[in-house]
Amino acid sequence: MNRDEIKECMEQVHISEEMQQEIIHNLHRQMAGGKRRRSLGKMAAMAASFALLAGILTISVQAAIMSIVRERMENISKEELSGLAEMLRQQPVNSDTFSREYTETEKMREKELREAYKNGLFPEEEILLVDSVEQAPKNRLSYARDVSCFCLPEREMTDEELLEMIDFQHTMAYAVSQASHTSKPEEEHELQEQEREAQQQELWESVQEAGGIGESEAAEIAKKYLETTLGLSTEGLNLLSVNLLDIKGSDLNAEIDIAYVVTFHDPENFAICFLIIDAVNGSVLSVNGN
Amino acid sequence: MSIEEAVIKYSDMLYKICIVMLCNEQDTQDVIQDTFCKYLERKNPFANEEHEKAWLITVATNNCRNILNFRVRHPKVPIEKLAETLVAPEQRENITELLSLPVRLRTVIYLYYVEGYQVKEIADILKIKEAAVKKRMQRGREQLRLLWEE
Repeated sequence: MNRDEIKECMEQVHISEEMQQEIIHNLHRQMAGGKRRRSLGKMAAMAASFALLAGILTISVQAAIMSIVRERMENISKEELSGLAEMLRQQPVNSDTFSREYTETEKMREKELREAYKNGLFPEEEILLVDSVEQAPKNRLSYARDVSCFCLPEREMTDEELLEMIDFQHTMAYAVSQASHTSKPEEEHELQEQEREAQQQELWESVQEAGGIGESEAAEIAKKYLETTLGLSTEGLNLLSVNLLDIKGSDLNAEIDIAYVVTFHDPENFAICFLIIDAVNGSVLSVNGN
Repeated sequence: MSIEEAVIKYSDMLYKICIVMLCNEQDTQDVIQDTFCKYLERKNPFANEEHEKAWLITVATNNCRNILNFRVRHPKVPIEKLAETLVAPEQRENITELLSLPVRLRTVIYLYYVEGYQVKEIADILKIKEAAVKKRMQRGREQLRLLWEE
């Protein structure tokens, strides 16, 4: 491929008139309603429902996930939660995928059901978990653990199946947010803590040598990024931790391959958010969550 | 400029960059929508048209990156399938090749070769260092087997 071919190829790509009109229509509607969807609003709303990372985004969008959902989450056994958290930890991919696209009516119903879920409409059954996509039954909703894929039936999904999926997404998010509280045998925990501290010290020495920033500065940059770049409120968020991380081998570009991972916790929405910050120049490399 | 005029003027440009970054029509529409929301709310005037355009790209690419970093996205479409909807058959191989690059590389490649921005301008738009832009350009070119001279 050469320079001209890239240009020629992109010259053929155009927004459809339909999408353009829809955008104008939505903007007018928002203006007429006197309120604009916040930046990343739709994503925030979805993230709220999924409660993944996203409490950060959701604070200003939704006051809270309804307490009835929280109660449901709190009733899940510790074993089940730790099993789920472990499953997520081991997954090689960092996002859920779907075996097919939603149909238009599924999209519509899913949106309505997410709202209903928050008000206490729960599925009767739990989603079927299978080890791999190959094991997924053809005409039944399931979740393949190995590649974090929702295997959707070829037919239109029922409300029950959509609710099972919504419920499972809530449960996964809750499991992750609770994982840090899992207790370990004291001795093992102490050893791991010593090891972690030694690693942190080593990384910190490299950061100092390169004239890098400190923990508090990293936390401040993260907070400011959420507020100014993403336009989000950080009120109600807890700073959970600030750790150094060796990012050699990752696709992140940092000056000396060391970054801070600044983690915020949104207790209201059981959500966590990680910002990865270059330990030398303080630039935000990634906003992430799980 | 009215919102209709702004959408008509800039949405095609934003669509191209967002579809290149996100490879998904619905996510792209969300980002364009959000970008114009911010545009509507912006109080300070733009210095000129170039400033306005660069600002829109910055907001859109930030939104794209945020979408990419979060777990929740619309269902994915295979790139080959997306390519069929975007370009004529003779260009499908090219666009598939471009969209198959890692997102960080295809973004700078797009801004440089299609939008015609210089390295410094791209660094300003994406809020990254010029060295990082150059590095991504180099990797992107290597992966695309681009043979022309700088």
